[in-house]
Amino acid sequence: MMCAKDILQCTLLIVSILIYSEAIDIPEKFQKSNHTNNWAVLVDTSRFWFNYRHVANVLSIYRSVKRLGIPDSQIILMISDDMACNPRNPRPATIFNNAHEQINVYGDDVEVDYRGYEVSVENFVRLLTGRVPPDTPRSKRLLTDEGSNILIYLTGHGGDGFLKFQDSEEITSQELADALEQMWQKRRYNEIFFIIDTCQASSMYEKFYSPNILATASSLVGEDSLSHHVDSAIGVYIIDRYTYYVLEFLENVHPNSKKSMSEFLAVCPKHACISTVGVRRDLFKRDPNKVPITDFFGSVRPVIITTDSIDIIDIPKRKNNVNTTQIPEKRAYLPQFPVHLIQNTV
Amino acid sequence: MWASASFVGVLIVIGVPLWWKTTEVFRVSLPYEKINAFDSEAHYITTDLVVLANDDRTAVNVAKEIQKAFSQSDVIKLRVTKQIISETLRQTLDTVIDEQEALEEIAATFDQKHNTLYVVQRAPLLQDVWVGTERVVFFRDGKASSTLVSALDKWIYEPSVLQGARSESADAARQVRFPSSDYHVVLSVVNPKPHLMKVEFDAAEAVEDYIGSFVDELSELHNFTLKSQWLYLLDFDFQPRKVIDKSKVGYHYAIRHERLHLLLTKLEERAATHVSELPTVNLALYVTQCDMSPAYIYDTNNQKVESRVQAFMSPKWGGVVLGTPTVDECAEGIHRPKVTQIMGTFLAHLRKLIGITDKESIQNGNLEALRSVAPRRWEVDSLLRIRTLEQVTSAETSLKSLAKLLGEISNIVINEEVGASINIAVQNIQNAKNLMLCGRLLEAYRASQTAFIAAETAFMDPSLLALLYFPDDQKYAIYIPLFLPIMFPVILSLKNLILWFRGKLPKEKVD
Repeated sequence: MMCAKDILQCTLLIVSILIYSEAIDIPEKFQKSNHTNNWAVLVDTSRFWFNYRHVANVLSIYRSVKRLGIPDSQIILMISDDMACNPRNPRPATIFNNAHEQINVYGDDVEVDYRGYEVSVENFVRLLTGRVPPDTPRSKRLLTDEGSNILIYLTGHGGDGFLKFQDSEEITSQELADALEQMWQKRRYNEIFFIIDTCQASSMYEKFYSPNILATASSLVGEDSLSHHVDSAIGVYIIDRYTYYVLEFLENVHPNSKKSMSEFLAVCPKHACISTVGVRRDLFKRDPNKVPITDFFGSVRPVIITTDSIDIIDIPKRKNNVNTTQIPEKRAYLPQFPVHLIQNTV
Repeated sequence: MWASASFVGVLIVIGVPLWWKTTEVFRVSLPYEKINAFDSEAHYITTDLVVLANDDRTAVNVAKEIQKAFSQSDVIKLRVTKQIISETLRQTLDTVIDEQEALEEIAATFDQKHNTLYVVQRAPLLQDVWVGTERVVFFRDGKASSTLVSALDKWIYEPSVLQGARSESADAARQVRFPSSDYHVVLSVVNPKPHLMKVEFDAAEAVEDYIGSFVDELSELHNFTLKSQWLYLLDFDFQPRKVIDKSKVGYHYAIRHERLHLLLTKLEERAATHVSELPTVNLALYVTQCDMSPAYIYDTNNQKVESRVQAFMSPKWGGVVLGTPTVDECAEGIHRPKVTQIMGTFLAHLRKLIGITDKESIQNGNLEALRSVAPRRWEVDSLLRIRTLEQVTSAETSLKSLAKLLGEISNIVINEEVGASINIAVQNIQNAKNLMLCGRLLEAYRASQTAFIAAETAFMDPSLLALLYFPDDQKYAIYIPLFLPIMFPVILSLKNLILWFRGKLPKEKVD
C-alpha cells in the first residue's frame, strides 16, 4: 500500500518536474506577436492656458513614439487647444515639458490631426469606430486592420467614470468600452495598449470587455493625479507626474531595446507619483513580462529583400490613353500692385 | 375628481407610452436569421478543367488522377471533362517546335474563357509539364500525372491560399497583399542631391506604359489610379559601411538590413500619399548618392544580396528600388536608370502586393518565365477566386459582427438606408455563393464585390452613431427630473381616484 503511494508521488513529482522544465524552456525571451503594423492615438482633451501640462504630456508621448519609429501617417494626434500660439505663452510657438525649457516638444514637425474644437467625443468615437463622414481625409482616419497594435494615450481632466472633453462634454467609460468593442468586432485591432493620465483614471478602463487590451492608468478611483513641477518663466505646471516618469522611462528605450511591458507598467511607484498606478491585464492574453515594449511604442515594418525581377523583353506601350487626366496649366504672374481694383472705383 | 382623472389620463395613459415610443432607438427590421446562418468555411468555388489527350486511356487516367487529388479539397471543386484531340490538331501540335506556337494553336481552336483550364497532351515536350501565360497546361504523357497534379496544386489553383482567404486569421499571403478595394499607385523618383546628380528617367511614361499596361489586364478586378512624382532633397542616412572586394573598383558600400525600414518612414513623410482616398501602393526609386556608390543591400544574415537591381518591399505598403549610379555615371553627374530592369522589379513587387503569389519550382515542371508586363491569364483567374472568397467572407463577418453589436449595445441606430444596404449585402452574398457553385467566376466576383462594399458601408455608416450623445441611461436622467415634480401629485391622487372609482370615497363633510 505504502509502496503504491510512493510510486504515485514519485510519478507526480517527475511529471511536475517535466512540466516545470518545459515551462521554463522558452527559446526566446519574448513571445512573438503577430501584429503587422503599429498605430498610436494620442489625445489631449482639455482647453485653456492653465492646462498647458496636458498638451506637454501628449506632445512628449508623440515625440517618443515618433522617435521609436511610428510614422506620422500612423499617429492620430488630437490636441484641443493651441498652447504654442496662446497669447499668454511667454515663448510663442514653443511648448516645453521640463523646467529650464530644455526640450521644445512642439518643434517643427508636429502633425496635429484634430485640433481645437474638432476634439470632441463624437470625433473621437467616430475615429475609433471608423464611422467618419465620407469626406474625411485619410490622414484623419484610423486605418487599422486585424494586424494592428494600437497605443491609445488619453490625458485631460477626468472623474469617476468619465473623461471631460473641452469644457462642454464628456465621454463615459461605458461609451469608450462600447467603442472598443465595435473596433474588436470589426477586426480593427490586434492588441491595444491603453494609457490614461487623468484624475480617477482607472475608472475609465473598468468597463472594458473586449479582448486583447492592456490598460494602465495614472491613478485609482478616488485618487487625484498630480502635476510634476512648475516652470516659473511660463508660470504654469508643465507636466503631469505620471507622464513625467513614463517619459523618463521611455528616454532609455530605443528601437531595438529589450525592455518589457511589465517594466513599463511598474513605472512611477507610489512615492514618486503620489497616486497609485492602476493596471488591468485580465483582458490581455500575453504575459506582460514577455511582451517587448516596442510591440506598442515602436513600429514593425517588415522588409522583404527581393531579388526576383521580371525580365521584360516586350517593351509595353499602353494603348488606350483615354483615362489619363490632363490638367491644363494655368500660369500667369499676378500684378505686383492691385491696380485693377482701383481702376473700377475711380 | 374628473380633473384628477383627466390628469392621470393625459400623463400616464397617453404620456408615458408616447414618451417611450418617441425615445425608442430607431431600427429597421433586419434579416437576423439569414445573417446568423452565414458560414464562411462552407464556401467553395467550382472550376472547369478540360483534359485533352491523344488517346482515350491517357485522358481517363489523367482525369482520374486529377479528380482524386482534388476530391478532398473543400475550397475548390473541379469539374473535369475529357476529350480526344482531333487528328488535325494533333498533327499541328506535333509539328510545331516551339511551345509558344503550340499555345497559339490551342488558343485558336478553343475559345478561352474565365475559370476554364485546358490540360493538353503534347508528346514532344522535354519536361513532364509546361505552363505558359494562357489558360493551358501541356503535359507529355500518362506518366506525368503526378507532376501535373502538383503544378495544379501549387501554381494554378493554390487551395491553401484560397483557404487563407476565407479563414478568420490572415495567412502569409494575406499579410502581404492589400485588402480588396481600388488602389492608387504612386511612383516616386527620389533624387536627394539634384545639384550633384541629374537623373534621366521619364517617370510619367514609365508608369503609363509599364504599370498602366499591367493594371489594364486587371481591370475586371480593381480600379487603379496612377501617379508619378519627383522628390528632391530627401536625404536619408543609410550609414553605409565600406567593404573591400575583388571587383573592378575594389570596394563597395554595404547597406544594413535594419536601416531599410527607416527609409520607408522617411519616404512616407514626403510622399504625401494620403491625398488620395484610396489605399496607396507606394513605389519608390531612390537614387543613392555617389559618395556611397556602388551600394549593396546586406540581408539579415549579413550576406551581400547578389542581384542586378537592389530592391526590397514591405507588405501592404509598396516597394523600393535603389538606383545605384555607376562610377562612370558619378563622374559625369548624370544617372540613367535602366527602365526595363527597374520597372520589372516594381512589377514583381506590385504583383505580390496585389495578391499574385510567388510560384515555387516543381521538379520536372516548367513554368515559363514572364517576358512581358501582363499577368498570366490563369493568374487573373486565381486572383478572382481569392478576392471573391475574401470579399464574401469579409462581408459575412461584418454583418455578423453588426448583428452581434446590435444585441450588445442598445443605442446603435439603424436607419432605412443602412437597412437597405444590409439587405443588398445579404442578397449579394447569396448570389455570389450560388454563382461560385455554378463556376461563373466573373459574375460571382462582381456579386461579392457589391456585397463587400454594401456590408462595409452599412457597418461604417456615420448614422450608426446618431444617438452617441443620448445613451440609454440618459433617457431617465433627462426626463425624470423634468417630469417627476408633475408626476408626484398625479400618482398621489391615484389612491383617491381608485376609491372614487369604486364608489367608496367618503362623502365630503358638509358643515
